[in-house]
Amino acid sequence: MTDLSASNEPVKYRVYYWLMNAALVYEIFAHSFITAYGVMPGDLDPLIEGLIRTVLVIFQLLIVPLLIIVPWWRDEYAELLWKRAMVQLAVLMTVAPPALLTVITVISEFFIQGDLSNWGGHRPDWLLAPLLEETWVLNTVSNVWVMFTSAFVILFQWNRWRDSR
Amino acid sequence: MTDAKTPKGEWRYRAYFRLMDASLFFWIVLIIDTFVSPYDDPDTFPVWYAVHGEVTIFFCLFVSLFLVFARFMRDDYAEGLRKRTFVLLGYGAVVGPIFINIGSWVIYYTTLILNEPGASLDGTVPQRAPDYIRWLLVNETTVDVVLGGVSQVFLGSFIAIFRFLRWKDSR
Repeated sequence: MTDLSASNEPVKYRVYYWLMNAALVYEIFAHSFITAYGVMPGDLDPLIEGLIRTVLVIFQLLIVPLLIIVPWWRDEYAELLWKRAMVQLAVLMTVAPPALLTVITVISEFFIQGDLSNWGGHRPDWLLAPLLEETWVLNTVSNVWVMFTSAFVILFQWNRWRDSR
Repeated sequence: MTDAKTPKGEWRYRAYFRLMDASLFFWIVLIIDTFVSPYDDPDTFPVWYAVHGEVTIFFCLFVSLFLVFARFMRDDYAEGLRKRTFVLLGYGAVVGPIFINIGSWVIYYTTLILNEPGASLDGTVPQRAPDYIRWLLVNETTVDVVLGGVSQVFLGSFIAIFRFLRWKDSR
C-alpha cells in the first residue's frame, strides 16, 4: 500500500518508511533478546557483543528518536500516521501509570499482605518485584522513555497495517 | 477573549474549559505546596490544610484524568486543542529525558573531575555533587514512586500546555 504512494516521492520519504520497518524489527529483536537474556548473554564473542550493543545504541538512542522528532522527514500520509500514533500514545501514557499503580495498591493491600502461612510458603512476591525494586531515579525515567519510544514505533506500524487491510 | 472560541449554548463545552482552568490552578497550588509546605507532619495538620490537600489531589488526579478522556465535553475546538497538546507533549516526552540525561551526566562528571582530581571514573560517587544530582543518579528509589512522579509530570504538562495553546490562540 504505502509503496504505491511513496514510489514517486523523494528518497527521504522512502527512507523514513524503510527505517520505520527496520525500527520495528529492531524492537522485536531487542525486546525478545532482553526478555530472554536479561541484558546480554554472558559468554559472547566480544566482537559480536560489541556489534549487538552498537545496533541497540544506534537504534534506541539515535534512529527511533529522530524518526519521532524530525518534522521534514514525513510525507503527508506519514504525518497523519504520526499524529494518530502520538495521540494514542499520549492517552496511553496518561492512563497507564495511574492504572498500574492502582493495580499494585490493590494487589499489595489485599493479596500479598496476607500471612505467609496462608500462602503455603508461596506468597507471590515476585508479582511486585519489578515495581518495588530500588534503583536510581533517572534509570527508571530512561526505562519509561525507552518504552515510550518503542510504543510509538509499534503504534505507527499498527495504524499503517490497519489502514492497509 | 477565549469566549469567542467557545460555542454558546451547550453548558458542558464551557464547563470543560472551566474545569481545565480549575485543574491548572490546583496544579500550581500543588507545585508551590511541594516546595514551601507550611506543615510537614501529618499528625499536626490543621483541618483546613488536610481539606486543601484532598481538594488538590482530587483536581490534580481525578479531574485531570477525567478531562483527558471526557469526549462528550469537548467541542471541535477543544478536540483540536487536545490533539495539538498531545503532539507537543509527545515531543516533550521524547526530547525531555534526553536533555535531562545528558545534562545530569555532564554535571556529575564535571563535579567528579573538579572535586576529586585523579579519581577513577567508574562507579565512584563524587562527594560534593549537588543534591539533585545525587537524587537523580545515586539515591535508590523504588520504581513505583518514580512512575507516579513521571505520570504526575505528564498529566500536569497536559493541563498546562492545553492552557498555553488556548492563550496563544486568543492573542
